[in-house]
Amino acid sequence: MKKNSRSKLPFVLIPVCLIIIFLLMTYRSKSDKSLIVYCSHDSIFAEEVFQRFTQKTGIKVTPRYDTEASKSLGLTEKILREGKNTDCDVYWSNEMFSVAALQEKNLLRPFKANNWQRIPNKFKDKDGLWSGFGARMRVVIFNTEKYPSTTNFKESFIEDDLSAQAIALPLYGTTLTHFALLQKQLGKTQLQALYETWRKKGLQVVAGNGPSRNLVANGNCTYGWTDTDDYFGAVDKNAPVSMLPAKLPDGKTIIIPNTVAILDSTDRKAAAEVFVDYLLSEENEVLLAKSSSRQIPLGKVNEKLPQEVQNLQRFIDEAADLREIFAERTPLLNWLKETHKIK
Amino acid sequence: MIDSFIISLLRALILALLTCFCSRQVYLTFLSLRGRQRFWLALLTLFPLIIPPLLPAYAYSAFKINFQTQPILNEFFYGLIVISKTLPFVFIALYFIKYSTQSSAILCDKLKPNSSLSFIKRNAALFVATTLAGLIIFHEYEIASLMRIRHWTIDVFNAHAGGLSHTIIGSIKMVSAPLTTSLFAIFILIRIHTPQTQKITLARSPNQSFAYIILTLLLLTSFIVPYLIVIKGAWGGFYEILQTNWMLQETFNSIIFAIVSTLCVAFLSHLVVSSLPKFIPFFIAPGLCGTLILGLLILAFFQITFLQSLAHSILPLTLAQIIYIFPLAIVVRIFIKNSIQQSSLTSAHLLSNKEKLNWKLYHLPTILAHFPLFCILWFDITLNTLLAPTSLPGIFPRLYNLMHYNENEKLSATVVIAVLVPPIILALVLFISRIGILCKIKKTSGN
Repeated sequence: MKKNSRSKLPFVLIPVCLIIIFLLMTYRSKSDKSLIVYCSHDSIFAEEVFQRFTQKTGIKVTPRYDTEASKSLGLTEKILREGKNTDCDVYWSNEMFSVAALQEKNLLRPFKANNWQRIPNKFKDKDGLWSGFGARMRVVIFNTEKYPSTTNFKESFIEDDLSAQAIALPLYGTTLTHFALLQKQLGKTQLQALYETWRKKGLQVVAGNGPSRNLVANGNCTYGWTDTDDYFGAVDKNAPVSMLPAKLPDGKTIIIPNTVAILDSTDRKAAAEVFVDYLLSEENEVLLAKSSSRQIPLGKVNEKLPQEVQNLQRFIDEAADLREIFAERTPLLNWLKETHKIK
Repeated sequence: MIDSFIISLLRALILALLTCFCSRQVYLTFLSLRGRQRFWLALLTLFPLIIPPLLPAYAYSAFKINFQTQPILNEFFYGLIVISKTLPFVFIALYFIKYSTQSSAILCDKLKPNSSLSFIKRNAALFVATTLAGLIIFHEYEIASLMRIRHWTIDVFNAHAGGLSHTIIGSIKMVSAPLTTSLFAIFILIRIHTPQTQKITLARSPNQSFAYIILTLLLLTSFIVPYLIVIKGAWGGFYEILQTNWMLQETFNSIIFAIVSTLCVAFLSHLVVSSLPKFIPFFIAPGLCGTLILGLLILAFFQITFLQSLAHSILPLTLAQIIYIFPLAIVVRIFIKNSIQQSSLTSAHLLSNKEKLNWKLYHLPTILAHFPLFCILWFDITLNTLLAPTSLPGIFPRLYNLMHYNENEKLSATVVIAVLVPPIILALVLFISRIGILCKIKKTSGN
C-alpha cells in the first residue's frame, strides 16, 4: 500500500511544483509599472507599435491578443465578465462596438490626451472615454480577371443570381458595423427585406472578411465585401483584384477606426495615459499607415504616406458617423441571430 | 439551434460508424502483423494525433475550390478530416478493449444453443468504440468553424456574439440538449464497457489491403497533402520566428499547461474511478458543455469575491483544461482499469524482474493512454484565449492568427514545431520513466 502511494507521488509532486513556479511567474507586484494591453488589432502589426512605445518611454507592455477564432468576442467578453476585476489597463480594439459595450457598462475612464485633439470629432467620444485612430475602410473587392470593369457593381444586385458575391456573416466585426449603418439609414424593415432577397439570390455568407477576400482573389467569386487591410493582403500576394469604397445609401463611406480606451479599474493610470497618447500620435498613425495593412490616419499627418493610403485619405471627410449607430447594435444582433437560426 | 443540434447528432452518428468501420479494419490488420510492420502501421495510424486540428482545414482553403458553393464536397472533406482525426482515438480504444480476432471464443459462443450474450454484449467493443468516436465528433468545433459546417458548437459561439447577451445560466441552458445527449452516451459507454467486454471476441480475418487503402487515403487527403502545402516555407520561417521573443516562451507555456493538466487529470480520474464511481456523471458533465461555455463558466466562477485574487493566475486555465478533458480521462481510466488485469500485475509482483514487468504491464500503457489527452490540451485554442494568464499566452492562439494573416513562412515553421512537440514530450516521459524503473531495479538488486 505504502509502495503504491509512493509510485503515485510524481502525479502529485510534479504538477504541484509546476503550479508553484507558474504562480510565481504570473504574480504582478504593485511596483511593476508594465502595462497590460488587451489588443484585438492583428498582432503582427501591433507588436511593432508596442516595441516602439517601449523604446521611446521605457514602459513595458504586456499584450493580450484576441484570436480570429473568437472574432474579438474573447477580449470584450472577458472584460465584461470580469468587470472591475479585469487585469486589463488599456483596451486597443480594432473596431468601435467593443468599446461601446464597455462604455455601456461604465467600465471606462475618461482621458483626453494631447493627441486626442488631432482626431476628428466623429471618431472619438466627446467625454474622452475612447478615441479612434488608424482606420480601415469597407470596400467591395473585384476579381479583375472575371470582371474587368468595376463600374457596373450597383447594377449587379438587380441580377437574379448573387452566388458570385461574398460577404462575411454580419454578426461580427466590420460587417456588423456595416449592417448597423444600413439599418440606421434604410430602417429595420427595409434592411431585413433586402438581406432576405440577397440570401435568396444566393449571396455567399462566409466566415469572415478574410474568406470573403479569398473567394474573390481565387476567382471563386466576382465580388466580395471586405476591408482595406484584407484587400491589400490580396494585392501583396499579386492576386488579380481591384476595389471600390463601399457606399451607404446616402453616399457616405464606412471608415472603421481602431479604438483605444483606458479601463476604469487600472492602477497604472499614468502609464496608461502615456500609452493612449502615443497611440493617438501622428508617429503611430504613420507607422500603421506604412504597415502592410495600410491603416488610414485620421488626424493630420505631415509625413509623406504611401500612395495607396493617400488615395484613401480623401474618403475620411465623407465617412459616416459611427457614434450614431451604437443603439442599433442589440436589435440588429437579435434579428440576425433569428435569421441565421442561432438563438 | 435545435436544427443544428439534430444535424450535428446525425452527422456524428454516421461519421462515428464510418470511423469505427475503418478503425476496426486497421486494428485487425495491426493484430495480424508482427515486428516492424506492426510498429509502422501503429505509427501511421496515430500520426494524426500530433497534427494541429485546424491545419487540414486551413490548407484546403488554399485550393481554388469554392467549398462554400459546394456543400456536399465541403461535408465530404470535413468528414474525411474528422474521421482521420478520430481514428487514432478509436484505435487506442480497441487496443485497450483488447478487441481480438480469436475465432475460438466466438465459435464457442455460437455453438451454445441459447447464447446468453445479447447482440449488444457480443458487439460491446464496437459499441464502445463507436460511442467514443461519436462523442469526439459531436464535440468538434475548430474544424467545423473553419470549414463553415453547420454544427451546434458554432451556433453556441454565434449566439454569444455581441458580448453579454447571455447569462451563465442562459449559456448552460443553450447547451442542455447536447449536454444530456453526451451524458447519455458516456453512461452507455461506461455501462457497456465492463471487464467482461475483454472476453468478447469476434472472428473475422482482417482485410489487410482494404485497411492499407483506408489508411493511405485518409492520411493523404487529410494530413500529408495539407501538411506539405503548409510546411513548404518552413525553413525561411524558422529564421524569422527564432528572432522573435514569443516563440520559445509561448511554446514553453503551452507545454507546461498541457503537462500539468494531463498529470492532474490522470491523478483525479484515477481517484474518481476507484473511489467515487457513482459520482462520475457529476464530474464529467461540465466538460461536455464545450470549450466556450466552459471558459465563460470558469471566468464567472473566478469572479466570486474570495476567488478574485486568483482570477489572473494559472488556476482558471488549468482548472478549465482539467474539466474539459475529464470525460475523456474517465474513459481512458476505465479502459486502463478493465484492460490491465490485476492477476497479471499480482503475478508480476511475485517475479524477480517485477519492476520490468510492472513497467510493461502498467506504466507504459498508462503513459500511452494519456498521451492523446496531452495532445488535445496542447492544441487547445478557445480555453487558452479566454483563460490563459496575460503573461503566459499559449502558442496555438498565435498559430491560428498566423493562418488568418496568411503569414505562411512563420506559420509553416510554427506548425513544424507544433507537430514535433508531442512526440518529443512522449519520448522524454518514456525515457524518464524508464530511467526511474532501471534505477529502482539497480537499487533492489543492490539490496
